[in-house]
Amino acid sequence: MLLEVDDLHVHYFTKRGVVRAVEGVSFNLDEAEILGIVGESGSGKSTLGLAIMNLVPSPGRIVSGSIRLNGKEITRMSEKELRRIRGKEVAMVFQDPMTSLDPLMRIGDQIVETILAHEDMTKEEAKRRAMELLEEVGISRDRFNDYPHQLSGGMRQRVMIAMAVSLNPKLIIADEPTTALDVIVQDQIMDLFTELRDEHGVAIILISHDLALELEVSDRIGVMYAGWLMELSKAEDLMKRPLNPYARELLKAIPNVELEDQKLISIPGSPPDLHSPPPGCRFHPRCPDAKPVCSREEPPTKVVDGRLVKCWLYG
Amino acid sequence: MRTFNVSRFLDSVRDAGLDGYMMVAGLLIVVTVLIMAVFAEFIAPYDPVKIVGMPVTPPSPKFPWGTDTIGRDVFSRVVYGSRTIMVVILMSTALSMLIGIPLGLISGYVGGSLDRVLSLIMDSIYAFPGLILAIAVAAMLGPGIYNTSISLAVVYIPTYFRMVRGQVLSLREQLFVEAARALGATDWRILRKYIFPNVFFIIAVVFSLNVADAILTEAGLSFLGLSVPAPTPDWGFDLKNGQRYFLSGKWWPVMFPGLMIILLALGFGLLGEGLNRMLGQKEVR
Amino acid sequence: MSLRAYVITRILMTIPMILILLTLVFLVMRVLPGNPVIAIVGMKASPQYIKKLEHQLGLDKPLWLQYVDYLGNLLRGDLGRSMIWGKRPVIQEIMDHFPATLELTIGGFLVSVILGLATGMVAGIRSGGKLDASMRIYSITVYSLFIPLLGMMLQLVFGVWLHLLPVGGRIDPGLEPPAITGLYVLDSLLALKLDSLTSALAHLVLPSFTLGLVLSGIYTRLVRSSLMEVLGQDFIRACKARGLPGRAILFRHALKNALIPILTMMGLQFALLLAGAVLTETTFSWPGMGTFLVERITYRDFTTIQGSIVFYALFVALVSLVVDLVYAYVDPRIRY
Repeated sequence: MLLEVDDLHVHYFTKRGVVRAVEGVSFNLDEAEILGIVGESGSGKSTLGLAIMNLVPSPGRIVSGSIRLNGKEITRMSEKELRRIRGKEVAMVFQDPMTSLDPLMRIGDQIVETILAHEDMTKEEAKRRAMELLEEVGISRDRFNDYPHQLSGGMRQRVMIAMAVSLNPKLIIADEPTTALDVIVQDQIMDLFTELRDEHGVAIILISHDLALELEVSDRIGVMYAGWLMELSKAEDLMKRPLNPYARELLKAIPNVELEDQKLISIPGSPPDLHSPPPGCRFHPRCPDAKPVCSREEPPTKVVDGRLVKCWLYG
Repeated sequence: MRTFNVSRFLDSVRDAGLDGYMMVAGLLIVVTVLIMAVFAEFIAPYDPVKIVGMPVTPPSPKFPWGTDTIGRDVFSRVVYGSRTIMVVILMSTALSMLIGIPLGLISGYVGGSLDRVLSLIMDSIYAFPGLILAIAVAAMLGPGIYNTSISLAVVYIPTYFRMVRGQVLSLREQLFVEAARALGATDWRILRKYIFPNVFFIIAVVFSLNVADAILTEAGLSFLGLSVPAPTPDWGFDLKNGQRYFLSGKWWPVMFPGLMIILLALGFGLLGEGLNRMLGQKEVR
Repeated sequence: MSLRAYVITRILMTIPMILILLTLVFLVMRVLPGNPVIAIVGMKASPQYIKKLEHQLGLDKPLWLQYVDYLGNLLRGDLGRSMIWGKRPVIQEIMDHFPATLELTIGGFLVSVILGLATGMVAGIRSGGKLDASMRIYSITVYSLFIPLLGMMLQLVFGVWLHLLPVGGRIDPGLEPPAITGLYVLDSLLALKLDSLTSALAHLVLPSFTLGLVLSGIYTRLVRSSLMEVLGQDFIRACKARGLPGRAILFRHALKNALIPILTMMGLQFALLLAGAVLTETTFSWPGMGTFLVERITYRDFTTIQGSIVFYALFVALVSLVVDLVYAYVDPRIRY
């Protein structure tokens, strides 16, 4: 097992109170697997991604639970040990490629810097490697000396990916990697991710608000709502028969190209304020299937047909 | 109308932490000096321009802060000096605001080439070293309370202009101003009802921070002998007078007026900085 | 926009600024109430003498003609002649005093940047903490220090009590290095005169420190807020996610980015240095532009006063131009 996340709780301690951004999330991830994490903004999916690198920004903190990468416990690592893991074993690709590169440094140098921070190499070797990487992600090597502002958004995201794969990590966490890009570039970047998985056996956690995109590329999909993992299923199972009402509503909201009369459906209501989430199930105020128990008690997480689901329908 | 509640005020000061304490400390200093200036006749034991003792007498019960280079009481001169600097500062600031604020409002609100020309002029003055500009104006106008006030006012007009203009530019685009305009409010009404009240708080902050700077500039002018004419007590000038005795260990004619300059500048600085953050926090809430 | 286009636009933009500043000086010197001639010779001078002097200075001409003359003379680099003593050309007098001011401002600049960077970095990294609070108080306090008092206290402690440093002047008499640039420290180095160098440096320490300490508070503030902003940006988090060492992130990425906006404000900071230098020079009997200007004001040397102010204006415009060009060179977003 490459990654084991067990009963993870991440809280933000703000002036207005405690925000429980991730609550009791557990899942496993195999090598060469693509796991999609889907949810609305504020569902805790980005925090989950940062928690796996132990990079939750202050005032946030991993409160309890465990994250094991190749059997090593990340939550108890020192800053020095973490530094060795970050980039080398888990790499991250962020949402906005415009702001994720240092604007004052040549892109090639940023890749070289990353390599040299982890590998015992000469500058020349690192430079040669960086040029290979650029070509691998589809950027000509004469772009080595360009500054980030000279590249298009898609190219910058390619640079971020080149940097992410530069140290052959086992796992890449991609947080909304294509949200800031236009549709054609989105597809190209997604192809790049699947290629990485197919050719190098890299596992990928793909965080996105876009369920359609997740269904296309992911092997399994976790659906998050207000800090909870509502359902974790194989992508085709989720598509055919979603178990959790929230997952079902999300699926309904995907615009269907085949249908004639297009009606954009969205789930009525809005996600709760996590400073004071509703009692019982956090989704019950918006849930069409809500029962009396839903507003009183937190639903248990059950295994149904080899899928994880957190809902009183299965309690 | 809400009545002023002391305990609630103290609570809000404590909530603001360092900013609250800074503001209160600054306020205390400023109010103390203001009291000194207003009630100088009752506080000062001697006539500040009369020779009342031997030159450079060290501090003693008779002359608590000693006497200056020709035998005048340093304490009395410092007390009356607070009046000089306060009057100059208040007059000059009023003048800068009177010119800078309306120009900034108009320039920001009207925009176009008027705005470009005015901004260019103001930015150029702003880029010029303030004290040197004040020196030039003061040298031409000659000494005196009014002339010094004018010299300082010239320096700080761009500060108010730039600040007000910037605020107006950002407010102009905001929703409530757009809405008022859509409802057919006149320009003058929008300026008066929507923009001016919003700019008001920022003016309070800039006023405090700017006065801190103006005090140092006034003291500088006065140190160079370009402020009020000779017998009038003025901290910077008194400090200059004591300079030639200072290095032989006779510190009192220099130290007391000098420390007052620093204290007053610090007072306004703390007040402005504290106010800035406290008001800033309110906006967020 | 290409770099060349940027440089050319920026140079062209300096022209209106210079023109406005020169006009401002003209307005201050000629249009403000108060007759400069009476200011020069006093009320008691005979009307004939005043007439003669007015004619000599061109003050009897209509104002617009005076303005044209004034700009015309400046264009030819003519600042007029001093009205006292040797009646030397004002430009020569300025060139005698300007290097001293330049040397002092460079010294003050270095001190303020070093102190400001150190304190601002501490505050920016530890934002919200006790150290941050003390650095904020530091910044307000040092800015309030009145330069003459601070200078005198340093003279008393380091000059009179400890006998460590000279209390005034630029160099010990007789040790002046051969004039090459006019900057004593640089000239002593060029001429390889060690005793001149030590003397020049010793004289420079206290004035530079006085000027630099007072202005360092501004940098504390600027560095703090700029660094805090940069440290919150996405690319810093991305650097952490790549496992870069904290030191590299701070110095190679965060600090470099934080200094760019500070660089753009350097022109205004320099104006503050020049203003502060006037007081520093007067306190330390430093023979620069400031002492020179104040001395000539007491002699009512009208042409020299006007010339000095014009010189300051040109110098300020030049510095702001240079700062913007350096900025363009440093920031690749403008360079390419």
